[in-house]
Amino acid sequence: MTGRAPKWIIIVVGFVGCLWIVPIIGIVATSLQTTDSIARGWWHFGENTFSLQAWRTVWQTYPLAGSLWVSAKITLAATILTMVTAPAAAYTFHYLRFPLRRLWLIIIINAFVLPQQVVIIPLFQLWRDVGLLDNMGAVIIPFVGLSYAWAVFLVKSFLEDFPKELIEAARIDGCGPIRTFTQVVLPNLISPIAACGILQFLWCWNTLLLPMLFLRSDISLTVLLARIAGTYDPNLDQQAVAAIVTAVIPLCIFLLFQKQFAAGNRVSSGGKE
Amino acid sequence: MAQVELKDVSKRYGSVEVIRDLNLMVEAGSFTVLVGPSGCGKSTLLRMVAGLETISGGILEIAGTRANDLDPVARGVAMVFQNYALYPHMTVARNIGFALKIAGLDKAEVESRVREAADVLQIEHLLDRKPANLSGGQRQRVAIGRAIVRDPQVFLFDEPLSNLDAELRVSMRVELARLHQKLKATMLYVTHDQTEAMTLADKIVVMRDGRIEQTGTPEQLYSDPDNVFVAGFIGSPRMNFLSGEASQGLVHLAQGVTLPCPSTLSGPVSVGIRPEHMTPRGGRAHSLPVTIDMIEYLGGTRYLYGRLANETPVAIEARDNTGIRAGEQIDVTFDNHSVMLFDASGKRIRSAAPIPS
Amino acid sequence: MSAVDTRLPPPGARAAHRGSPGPAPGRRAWMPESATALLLLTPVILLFGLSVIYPVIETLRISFWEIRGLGRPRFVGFDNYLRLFSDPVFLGTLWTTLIFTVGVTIVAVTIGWTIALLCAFAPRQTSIFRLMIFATFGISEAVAGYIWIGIFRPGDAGLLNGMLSAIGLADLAQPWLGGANSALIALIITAAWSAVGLPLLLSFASVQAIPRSILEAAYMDGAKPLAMMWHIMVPLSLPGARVAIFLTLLSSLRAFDIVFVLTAGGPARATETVGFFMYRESMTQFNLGYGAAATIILLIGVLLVSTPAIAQRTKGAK
Repeated sequence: MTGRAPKWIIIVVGFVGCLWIVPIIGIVATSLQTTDSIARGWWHFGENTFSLQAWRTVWQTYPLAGSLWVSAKITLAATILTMVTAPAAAYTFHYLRFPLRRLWLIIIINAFVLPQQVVIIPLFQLWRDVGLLDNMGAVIIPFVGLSYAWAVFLVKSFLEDFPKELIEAARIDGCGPIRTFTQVVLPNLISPIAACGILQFLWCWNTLLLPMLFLRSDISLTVLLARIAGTYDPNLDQQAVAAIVTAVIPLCIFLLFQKQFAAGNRVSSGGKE
Repeated sequence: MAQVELKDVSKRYGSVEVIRDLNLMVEAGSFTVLVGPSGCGKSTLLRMVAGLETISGGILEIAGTRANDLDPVARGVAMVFQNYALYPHMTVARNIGFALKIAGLDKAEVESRVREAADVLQIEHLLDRKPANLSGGQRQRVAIGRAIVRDPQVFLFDEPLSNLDAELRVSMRVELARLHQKLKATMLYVTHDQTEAMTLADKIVVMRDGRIEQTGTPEQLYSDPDNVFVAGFIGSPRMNFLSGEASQGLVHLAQGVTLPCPSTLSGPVSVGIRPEHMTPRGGRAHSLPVTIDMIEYLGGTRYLYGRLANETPVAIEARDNTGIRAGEQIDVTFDNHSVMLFDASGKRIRSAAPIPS
Repeated sequence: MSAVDTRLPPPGARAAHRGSPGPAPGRRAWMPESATALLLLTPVILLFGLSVIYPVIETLRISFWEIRGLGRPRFVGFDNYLRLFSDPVFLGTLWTTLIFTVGVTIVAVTIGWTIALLCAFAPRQTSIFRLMIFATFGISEAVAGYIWIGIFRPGDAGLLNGMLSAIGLADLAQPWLGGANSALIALIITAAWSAVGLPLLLSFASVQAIPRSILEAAYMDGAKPLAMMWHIMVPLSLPGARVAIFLTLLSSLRAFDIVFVLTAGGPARATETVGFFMYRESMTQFNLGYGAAATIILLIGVLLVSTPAIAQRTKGAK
């Protein structure tokens, strides 16, 4: 900004920043200490003893690797499906004319307000009736279906700034709607598609409700975390391990791509005021 | 009203030095214009005076006191920004009164001073409007109003007219000059437009690459530039530069034309001649053959643009209708007394005595 | 060139030209545009219909039926709704949801927005701290719940109690998740910790979008950081903050994961939100009709909060 930034500002922001990661430091410390030490409070670093026991126990007792794999499969499938189909839908809504276009568009982009809770009773019954419970598809389908509400809007907002001349030029060059999409529009949509992908990845990996209800044997990491915590042993150290394992991948993805958020956010809040 | 003095001022961004050991005196009450091509450091210099950029080295004195570490209010400076920088969520009155409100003045005082400033600029009828509902010229006035309401010792202008259309620019220029006469305040003004500099300034400071090339009144810079850069920058159309070779008291131009010069001079030189000092159809000695490419008719005068045989571009001012057409080859003469010589490094060679013709 | 040629086309001509980017005349129409649209939209319509449209209609339908476990469904009209509004647990749930939603939004947006405003004064020096706060965006609500369980533990093993004792407020130390009010406070703190990323991101983007020269002008006008924040940056970053407020309200209103993990609605259903209530009724008690009615009430609440956003999006849908 202007002049020199006052020191107190950096101190205040620094203090809040450090305060914000105390819980994260706490969970890491908890996972590395013995049960006795945790009972004393994990922050007594001087007196406490460190141990990898909890990590070993969790690894041996719980199907951690399996759940990691389940989470990865579900999340990747749902993310890729969204990244492939949502841009095509946004393009179609933006450039093509067809019956009921505006009605469909209004329904889809406003569905982002819907709570997940709305889908669980009907889908629970439906999956039970068609035998899809405990199948990954039971989770992937609503993950993708619910994502359209915001993903189509995000990509379409981006298209609003897309130069019309390019589309017209493609038309004059003899491209049909699909060629125009794949050859002209799609290569320029990388940043909103990436934003969609990251948001969808984080949401699918992190959410608990749907996988908890629709998966039984092959469970995802968040559900496994819930199960470990549900056993009533004093196993804070093991919960900590599970929490870290659950958080580490989305956190890495997030940190890796956090610059993308600025772009995605600019688009999604583009219609401000 | 206060003087501004910069002593050995420099500005570094990391290891890049954009301004180096710059010395400048802005007299109290003067209208001083910093002019130069973009990237020459003129805006940076202005922003250092404003307090928007820190000063990496040297001393800035305003009214005789060191101001390096003072904030803008304590420096007594106010600034008019290129894009006006009006607060979009405030009415014109609140925009103008903001500084006073921040300074803790009571409401009635703020209001009367805002009215006073609005009166000077004739924008009283706009006081309740938001900036979005103003035209470019009106915004410009509000921006100036925001500066004058503070009654600063020094006004700073950062290319204030460059966002206006040509017609408005001319009339605002006149108004700024009038405002300066009325307020008698020190004004430091940045522009890249030499016409603006010539018309507004008491004193022009020509800058290039973070250095001052020359300082002086518009007349001095025009008629007595120190170097090729200033000679070329000031004046429109720009000065013609012909290359020549000096030896034994004579400069040989490419076309066999010679000019007298100090006898100590030798080697390649540049000969500068302003367009108005060139006359078409001389037919006498010293005439240069010029092929005319284009004629610019401006009513009272016309400019002939052409080139020499060696492709050097030449501009010639003609007062009356010469009947010359584009494509013609003509002979051009020039006045020996008005010729300026520059050495190979671009420095002006001033002869002690007038050159005999 | 005749004078007619140089005239501007009438205003309507341009609009008409822009109006329909349909197949250009003379081009071989190999496929009607509607058919192409249908082809590109099929996956979206199928998946969206299956996981959004069908469930909404079906939930609404079920809410008028009594369905207990695998028993025979019975049509009961508005009975479920009437029962809900005479059920003290559900009424308590509504109140809890309101306090939780408003509480989380106030805490998260206040902190996120304030930090965003402060960071604008020194974006580079504060970027690492900003990232530390923003990082919670990548951590799931469920994990946040586990992380904070450790902090709210009773006795000295809980960090919060430990800190309170350390600063001489040992009287305030308590089993946070054990008391009705304290558990709700704990829930709000945890949710706000987890939710602060979005307000921070949106407000920061909005603050950064303020033209630099406006801030410089305010600085020249003598505005110190606090005055600058209050008079210039707060009003000018309002658009971003407004979006942040709305999105935080929306997500807190629908909260489930964090409640499930941190308090499971306890103690004694004191922290049960509507989103959790419907889960308990329909998925653990198998009162599907009753749970569906609660879901519809939640949906109505969500729609009420979203009315301006929906109106705006609907208007902007071109």
